[in-house]
Amino acid sequence: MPFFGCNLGYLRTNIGRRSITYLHSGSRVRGLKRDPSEYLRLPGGLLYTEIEPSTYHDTIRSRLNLQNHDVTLSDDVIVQCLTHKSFAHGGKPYNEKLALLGAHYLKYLTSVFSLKLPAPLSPVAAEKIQKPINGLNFTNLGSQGSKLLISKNTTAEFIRKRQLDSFVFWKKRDPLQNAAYNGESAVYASVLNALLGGMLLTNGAEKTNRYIQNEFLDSSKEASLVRVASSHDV
Amino acid sequence: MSRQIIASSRLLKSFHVATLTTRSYSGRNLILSRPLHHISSVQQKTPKLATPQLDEYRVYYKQVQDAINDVPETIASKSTALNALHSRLKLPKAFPNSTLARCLTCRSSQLSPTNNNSGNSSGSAFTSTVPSNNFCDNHGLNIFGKNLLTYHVSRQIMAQYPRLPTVVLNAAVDAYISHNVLASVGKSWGIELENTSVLDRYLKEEPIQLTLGRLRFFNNSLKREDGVEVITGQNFSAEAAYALAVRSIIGALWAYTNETNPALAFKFIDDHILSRKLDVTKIFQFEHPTRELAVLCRREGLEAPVSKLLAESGRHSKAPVFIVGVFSGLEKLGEGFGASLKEAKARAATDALTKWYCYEPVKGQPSVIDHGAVIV
Repeated sequence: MPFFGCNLGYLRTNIGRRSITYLHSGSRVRGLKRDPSEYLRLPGGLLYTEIEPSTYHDTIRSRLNLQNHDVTLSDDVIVQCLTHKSFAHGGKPYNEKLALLGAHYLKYLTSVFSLKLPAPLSPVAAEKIQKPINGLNFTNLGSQGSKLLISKNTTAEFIRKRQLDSFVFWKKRDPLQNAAYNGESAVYASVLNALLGGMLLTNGAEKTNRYIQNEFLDSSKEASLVRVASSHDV
Repeated sequence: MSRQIIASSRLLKSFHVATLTTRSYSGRNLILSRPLHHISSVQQKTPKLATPQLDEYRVYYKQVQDAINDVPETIASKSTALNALHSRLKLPKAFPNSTLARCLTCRSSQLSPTNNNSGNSSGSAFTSTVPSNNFCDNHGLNIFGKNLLTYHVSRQIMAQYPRLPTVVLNAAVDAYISHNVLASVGKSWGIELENTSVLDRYLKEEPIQLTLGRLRFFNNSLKREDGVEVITGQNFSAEAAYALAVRSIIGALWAYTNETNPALAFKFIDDHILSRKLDVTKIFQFEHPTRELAVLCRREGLEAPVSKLLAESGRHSKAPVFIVGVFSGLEKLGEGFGASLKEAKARAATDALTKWYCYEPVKGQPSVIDHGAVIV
């Protein structure tokens, strides 16, 4: 009997499984798995799995002036905010929901900003002027200037002005077509909104509010939403 | 009573208020653009209408118009409907009745001149509302209230269910603040529609402040006219008007309390909008649950899911029941039953996915940042 037991033990230890996966490079072939080092790479050469904190995360933090406003964003959150749903077929954490929250928050804060402006943001017909309530200018809401503050083009331009566009992980619908066809503005706008959404969830409303007031709605700054929107308005 | 009847018959004669519309089927737009209480412009301009009753009516009409154009607090404070609504909603004292009346004036309550064939005779197409300016309507308040509601409701739902897929999250937000839902909230608040025509109100000698407490929107009595069909956009419906009023009240509440008590408007939303029960699990619909679960496990670094038969009954009968559990390694992810193995397996995967997406963090836990829904 011990002899049998010994044999069984011997057999069990020698059973093993091996699996081989072929990863395809080059032109796409239906049904073949693609090499991650290929589809996780941006056209600019940046590889998703090999991003360095010193060249990626810290650069983004400095371009957004996060430290000046005591806003902390972890490396993971930053990468998620700059990853669009189109990248790697949604296989990596992406920014869709953060962008949704950030967009709603930005809309709310910009409408408060518009309300507090005594002068109209854009010319309004005399018959459309509304009675102020508690000193708040309700005529501005729904006006062209108010809408431009958070429009897709304005927020996308903000990302370009802060030179963050080359860090965004996304996949073009068709690389041979132009930016409008590929929805570049929508992707960049989602990045900005996601950064605000991530900030709101991790740093709280008070810090995010202060950050938005000082960085986005301060007309003295060149790359602020107010300045970008006013240039679009003209 | 007899005085009312005599007065109304005289006015009807002189005013041609009764519908003299001739049916025209030449086009849909014609129905909207033509004044229903049809008076030709020639008839309106003739001075033969100057009677003492008509002058009295003119004064009454002007008073109503002035009151709506710029609601004086002295008149609004006398309105029982406004006072009742104010106290029912427990609004702060800083929130005046005149603003509450403004929240009930929709921009659609005045037709644009382009919609009015009668040119100078604006008002001929109205029965229950008077043409007013935009100075004191709820347009801006509605926009702000909507922004406030969307932000707060989205944030609260995301805090409660951080892993909801975007589509489900949007559906959940809609379930709280879509205009049908807000309309039912408005009705539950006791807001009434202004259904009586200005003429009837004049004949009843109704005080002006009463109309201030009712919801004024696109000529809402037209639908009740016999044989007249009104084609109105969604924004001109009574439901939309109720929703506008609810959003405007929330926007105005913020405007009055943002400096003294910034949390009050959000608490108001919590109490009146988010307090309604919503079962998010009912919103889900998975097309390929087993495939989606496999992709989810791969993305989250879990072992591939394996379905195992846990129990069965009556395999060879006409009503078999199978209970299947789906496991990732030793961890059981979900369980489902069905009349076939395939059905039970799909239900087990659906159960596992629902549990993943409807995860609720405990109180005091730091915010969960979701990686996004799985794309199959």
